[in-house]
Amino acid sequence: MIEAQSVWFSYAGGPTVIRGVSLSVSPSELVYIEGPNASGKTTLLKLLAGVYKPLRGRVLVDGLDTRKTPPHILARHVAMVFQDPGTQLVGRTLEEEAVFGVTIIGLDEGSVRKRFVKYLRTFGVLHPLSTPPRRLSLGEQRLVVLAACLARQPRFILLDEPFFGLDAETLTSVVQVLSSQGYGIVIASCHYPPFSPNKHLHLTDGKLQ
Amino acid sequence: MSELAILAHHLTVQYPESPHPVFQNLSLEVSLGEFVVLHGPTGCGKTTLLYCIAGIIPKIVPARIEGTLQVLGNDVRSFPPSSSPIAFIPQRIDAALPLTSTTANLCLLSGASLSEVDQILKQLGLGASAALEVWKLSRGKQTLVALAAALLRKPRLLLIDEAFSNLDLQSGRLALQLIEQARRQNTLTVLAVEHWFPKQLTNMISRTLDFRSLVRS
Ligand SMILES: Nc1ncnc2c1ncn2[C@@H]1O[C@H](COP(=O)(O)OP(=O)(O)OP(=O)(O)O)[C@@H](O)[C@H]1O
Ligand SMILES: [Mg+2]
Repeated sequence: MIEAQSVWFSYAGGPTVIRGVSLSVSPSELVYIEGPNASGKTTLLKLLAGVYKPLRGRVLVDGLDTRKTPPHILARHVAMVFQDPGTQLVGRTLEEEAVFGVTIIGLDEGSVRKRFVKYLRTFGVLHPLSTPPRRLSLGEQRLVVLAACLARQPRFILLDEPFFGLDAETLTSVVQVLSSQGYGIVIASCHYPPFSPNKHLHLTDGKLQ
Repeated sequence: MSELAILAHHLTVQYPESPHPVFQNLSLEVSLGEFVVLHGPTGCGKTTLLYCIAGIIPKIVPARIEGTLQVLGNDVRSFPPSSSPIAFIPQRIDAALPLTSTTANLCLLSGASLSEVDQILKQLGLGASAALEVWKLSRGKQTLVALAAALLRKPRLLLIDEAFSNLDLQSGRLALQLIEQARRQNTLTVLAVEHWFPKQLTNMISRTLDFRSLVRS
């Protein structure tokens, strides 16, 4: 379960961007947050992922307070694919991308690699593991980052504007795969969803409706 | 001088170190003044095609090109980089926008005057963001800034590598109105690669093309 409880946030020296947001995401639930540009979607997802910490209120991921839980512990519960996935790539090859840092979060490289390859092929990315990820198209990079996240077996996966780089068909089938495997999913986008989520929320000026 | 802005014929492109071409025998004709939206599956070579048309391949990104490619009646390689008639909005604008204020960005990227910059920012509803560092803007607003920078350069050909998937309906409409205005002022041809384009706004473009139909042999 992810629970945001009256979360407030502003960037240093800036205006308040997230205003008292409360929401909950259950395992295997698909939550869709729709909102216009600059409404705070990216900020909210990063708060749910523990990348940013609430200034007021709190975010609990499987009961863990994001302000008090170190990233390598949180990583076993929640993972996020950024709006610009290229900024998340760390490996010189897809192989490195798959296993980067996994021993730190207490996972076995071999099984992570196996799961990574399985997801990648399921998503239709067929490049050899020796390929530098920067050489892939943006949509493929998004799928690579997603596969790397899933290979680490979090319970919740957050997707920020996944239409960027992916066509609606591909995205719909990716979401179907994730749903069928029981992941809790949160998608933030400025577009109307092409599939039916369990919860369809609207974010305007940092407030949920 | 032909009335085509882009003529590609039997175009084949292969990156070094890659065992096979990205695409083979691609043909594309875009007339002067058209606004064409191109879509196609992930990884099929849309960005690569834009790189070729912009001259980024092979000038900056090495790759082997075979076949004919004429842009605005010339071989792309003949355009001097400093006064190129082509503006290109890349997919990864986060890497292309200088880390300064929005206004400074537009001046730096386009050479436009402060009053021109001021006007376009107001038109795009970005007046309040003028003094803000551009990396502090949301991704959608950054996309509008990149579009403004491109149009301020008064290009004859505008190449867009995905803008609309990051724009809400209102911003998408503003973007299209601005492009429309530029097309009325002087002949501007637009080729936009998009995975997502608002159905409500298709009346503002000339036609859509499926990438796969360009490479049918
Ligand atoms: N690093 C930052 N520093 C300061 N302000 C920021 C920063 N990142 C975002 N903001 C501001 O926070 C607000 C919300 O931005 P956010 O990126 O969360 O919006 P968004 O809903 O994801 O928009 P988009 O649809 O364009 O991606 C905006 O006003 C933006 O300018
Ligand atoms: Mg965003």
